[in-house]
Amino acid sequence: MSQIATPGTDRYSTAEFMAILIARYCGGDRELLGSGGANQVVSLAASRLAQLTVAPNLWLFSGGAGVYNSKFDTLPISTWDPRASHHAECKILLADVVDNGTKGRYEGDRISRGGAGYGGLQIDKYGNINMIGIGGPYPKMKVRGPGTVGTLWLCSGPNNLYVEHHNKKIFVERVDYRSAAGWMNGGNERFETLNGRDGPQLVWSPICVCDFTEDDHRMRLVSVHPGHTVEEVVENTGFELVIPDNVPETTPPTDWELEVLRTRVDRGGVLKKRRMTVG
Amino acid sequence: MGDSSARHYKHMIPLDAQAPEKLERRSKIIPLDEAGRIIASKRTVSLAGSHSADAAMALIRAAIKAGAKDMTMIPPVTASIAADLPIAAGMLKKLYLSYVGFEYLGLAPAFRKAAADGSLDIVEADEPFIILGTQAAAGGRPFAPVQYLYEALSIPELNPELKKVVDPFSGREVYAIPPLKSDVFIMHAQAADAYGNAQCWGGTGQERDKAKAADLVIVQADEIVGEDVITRDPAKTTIPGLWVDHVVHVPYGAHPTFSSGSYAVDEDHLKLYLDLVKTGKAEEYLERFVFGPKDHMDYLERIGGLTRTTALRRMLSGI
Repeated sequence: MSQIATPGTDRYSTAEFMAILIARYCGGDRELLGSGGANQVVSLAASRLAQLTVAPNLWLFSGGAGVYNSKFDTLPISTWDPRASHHAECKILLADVVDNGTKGRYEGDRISRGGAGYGGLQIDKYGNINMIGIGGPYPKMKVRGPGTVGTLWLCSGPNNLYVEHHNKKIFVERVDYRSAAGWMNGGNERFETLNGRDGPQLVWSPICVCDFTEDDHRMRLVSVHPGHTVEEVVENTGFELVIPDNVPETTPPTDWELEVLRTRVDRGGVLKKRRMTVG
Repeated sequence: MGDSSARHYKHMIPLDAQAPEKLERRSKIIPLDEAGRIIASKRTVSLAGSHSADAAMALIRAAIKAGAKDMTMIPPVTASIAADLPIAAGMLKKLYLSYVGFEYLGLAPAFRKAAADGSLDIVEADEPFIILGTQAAAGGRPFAPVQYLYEALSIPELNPELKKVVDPFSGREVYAIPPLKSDVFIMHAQAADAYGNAQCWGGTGQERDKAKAADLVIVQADEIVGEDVITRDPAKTTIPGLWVDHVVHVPYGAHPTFSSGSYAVDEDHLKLYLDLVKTGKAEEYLERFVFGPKDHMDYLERIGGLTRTTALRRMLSGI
């Protein structure tokens, strides 16, 4: 039975905390693409929050509406919500999205990616994602997934993974189908297959943050959110995570972070109501 | 396995601690001469525009002045002075040709001369070759397929860059156009903001593809505008600033070509160019209008100053 992932105190919701963490990650004055596909309100909030505080050169891309740098102070339902276009600077076409994704325009030093990243029905220890389905043989699956949409773009270059539910059904040893390539079977396989394009960097979960080891590219625990423990993370992960000797608590949100988020990004309190679970 | 706590993770540092004293978005505006030097340091340049409209003439003059030599040009499918002037100045070694000429004013004199004396490597391309090849490069795709059409033409015999492949669906041989990527794409815009969001009111759809197919993008703009203009209609922004590296502010920068919705083509100037180049006086034109002017404002003085530019604006209304 899954439980609502609870933060350390009732001062903030888990979704608010995740938006703040991702915004922190985007900090710096370099040019950065903060992108969000469908249903990524946390990513939208994080990118806008980062733009307003620590990342003035971040380009916020609302994937569903196809626009850059909308200036909302109330979160839209999702990136396709026409309100996500409010005071945007440029509208591009899906063909542009496809070109940039296949070319891998943003790999390398020129433009790096911020934002939340990609999720799926399953994520495995090498950061591969499955949006196709669970069980088989194909096409007779126990769960028919919604389809791979644009998760292929995880092949474009460095990005992150993002999940709102942390449990053994999602964090699996090996994905049943691969709709997006993380580090494939680990080691250098991704670099060899995808012409050297860099792979997933961080994993944002409602109870922890993970990254990948330098050589094997196995998922490794980085920090555990307030109110949660290493044991809880291990217990709810379906594969052996790399656990360093010292796993710090994720730095909790400050009053200022919460105030900016609530008064300039999410005035409607959408993130307060977002449900995230563990187990 | 490594101890992750020893590494630097930005998500652990609160926004308060990261926030700079002054949050400032970086301007991409650079001086024209610097843009000229950047272009001159590259090998392949691509252009947008159409015939004698919306050519990035100020950037082309700046590149010539900066000593651009032996470059390859991927022009728009139709170009007049934007291709002929670089040829006259010895800036080009190779040209992907679709149409270079001045239509009702006649053929392109420097282009004809270079073709005749063999000093220019001309790739016998055409509209689909340039547009589809650009699209392939825009998406990093290996080539662009075209059905049997070229079988009916001389182009396959004349253009060694056009190859044949077997269509895996029909089994028939088809044509493969190579990806036309460039080192730098230069574009004229009527308006741009300091962050690179650029409006080309005469856009033909090739601007975005050429930007995506280039390693570097430089925009020259008649006007630098603020957020109020750019955000009024995001669909009017031809290229998102994210794709643009540098912006140069050059009022009347498309002169002598048309700037869509802004000022008319300077036909008298084009005739002067044609007369000089046809009579072997290309050097005189270059000295007067490319190497001579100390900057863009001086160029505008030499073409007739405010009197001339005002007349070109008025011509838009047919007055």
